[in-house]
Amino acid sequence: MPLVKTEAIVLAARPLGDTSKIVVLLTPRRGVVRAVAKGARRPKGRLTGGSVPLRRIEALLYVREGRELAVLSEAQVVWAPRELGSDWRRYLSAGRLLETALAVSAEGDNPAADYHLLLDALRLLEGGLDAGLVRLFYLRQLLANHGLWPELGRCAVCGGTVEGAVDIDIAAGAAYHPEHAPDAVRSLGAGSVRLLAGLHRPAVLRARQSREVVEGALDLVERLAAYHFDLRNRSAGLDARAQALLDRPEDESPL
Amino acid sequence: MVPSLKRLLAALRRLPGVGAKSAQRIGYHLLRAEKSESYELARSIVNLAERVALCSICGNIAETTADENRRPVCEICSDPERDEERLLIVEEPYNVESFERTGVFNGRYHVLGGLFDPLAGIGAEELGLDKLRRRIAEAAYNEIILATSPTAAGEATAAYLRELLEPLNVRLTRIAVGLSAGADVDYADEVSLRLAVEGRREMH
Ligand SMILES: [Zn+2]
Ligand SMILES: [Zn+2]
Repeated sequence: MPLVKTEAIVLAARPLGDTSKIVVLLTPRRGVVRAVAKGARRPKGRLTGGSVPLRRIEALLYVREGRELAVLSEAQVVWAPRELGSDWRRYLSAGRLLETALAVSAEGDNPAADYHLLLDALRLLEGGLDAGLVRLFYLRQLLANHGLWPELGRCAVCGGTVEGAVDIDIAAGAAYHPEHAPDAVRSLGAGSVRLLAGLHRPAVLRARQSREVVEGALDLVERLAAYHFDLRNRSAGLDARAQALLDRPEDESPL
Repeated sequence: MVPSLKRLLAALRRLPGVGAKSAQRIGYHLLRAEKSESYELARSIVNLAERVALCSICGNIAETTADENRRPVCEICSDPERDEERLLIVEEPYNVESFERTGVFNGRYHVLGGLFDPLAGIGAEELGLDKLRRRIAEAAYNEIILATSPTAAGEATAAYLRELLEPLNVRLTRIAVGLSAGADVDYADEVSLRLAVEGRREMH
C-alpha cells in the first residue's frame, strides 16, 4: 500500500458517517484523488482543519491501487483563504473554479499545470481581483493546458494575420477575418482579443477593463470550455440569482 | 443467506455509520429477539416517515397532526413561553438540539437546511432565504444571531445574510469564540457552544 506525500487543494468534502468525511483533492502529480478522512468531522480531529474545501494542505495519503478511495492520514493546512469566506460573491466564484477543476482535471494528462493554475486563480480571487477576470484567466489557461486554445491571430481561410476583431468557430477551434468567416461563428471585439492575449501578464490583469471587453472574452472562453469539457456547472448562475434576491424589495418576494 | 435477511442488511447498510459487520449483528439480533421488538422498530420507522415533516415556520423538524390541512409547526414555534425578540439562525435541525441542550438561548430558531454550496448548486434561493427575509420583516425581533459554522461556507452564507437583512434595520450578531476553525457546529461540546453564543459579535 504505497504512502504518498503530496500537496493538495481540497475541492470538496462530504460527510461520511457521524465523524468522517470523504474529501476530493486536486494534487500536482495524481490529479483528482478521493480519500476517506477519518474523524474529520470531530472538532479536534487530526484531519478536521485539513478537510475543508478551498484549503491547501500538505497531505499524507495511502493510495490503494485498484481502489477508488485513498485514505488521508495526515493533512497540514498550508494555506486557508480568509477573504473568500467573508465575501459571498468571491466564495461562489471560488466554488465555480473548484467545480471546473473537478470536472476537467479528472481526465487531465498534465495535472501539475492544472494544479498550479487553480492555486494561482484562487490567490488572485483572494487578493481581490474581479471574479470575472479571474474566471477568464483560469479558463483561458486551462484550455491552453489541454491543448484546446485556438490560434486567434491567423485566418483559417486565407492564412493571413488577423489583427483586431476576429470571428471564431468554437467547434473547429478556428479564427477568421470577419469578411472571410463562414456563418454561425462568434464575433470577438478587438478589446477582448487584446485582453485574452495579455492575460498572463500581471499588468494586464491589474489594469481597468471595461465590462463589455471582459464579458465578450468571458463568453468565448465559457463556450469553448463548455464545448470541450464535460462541465456539470451546477454552480453557474448562483451568484446572479443571489444578487437578484438582494435587489428585489422584500415586499415583492413571491410567496 | 435467505432473501429477507439479505434485504434487511442491504437497507441497514445505507444508514450512516453502519457497515457490513454492524448490519449483520443487528440482523441476527432481530432474528433471535422477540418479534415484538422488530414490530416496534418497524412501526417507529414508518411513523417517523409519516408523521415528521419540516416546520412550516422555521424549518426545524416537527410532528404532523392527523389534520392534513394544518401545516406542520415544531414544538419551539408553538411554545408561547419562548422569547419573541431573538432569532437564532442555524444550518441543520440537529443544530437546534445542540443549542437547546446548552439552555443559554430561549428565543426562536430558523433552520437553513444547509449552507451555500456551489458544487451542489445550493445558493440563496435553494436555502429559501426569501422566506427567511419575509419572516424577519413581518416579526419584531430585536436581534438576529447567525450561528453558521466558522468555515468559508458558513462565513460566506453569514455574509450574504448580513447583506440581505441589513435593510430591515435589525441588530445582527454572529457567534464567534469557542468553536475551533473548520469544525461543524454540531460536533462542538456544550461548553464551546455556550462560549460561542456568549461571545457573539456585531456584524456591522
Ligand atoms: Zn482571412
Ligand atoms: Zn418551527
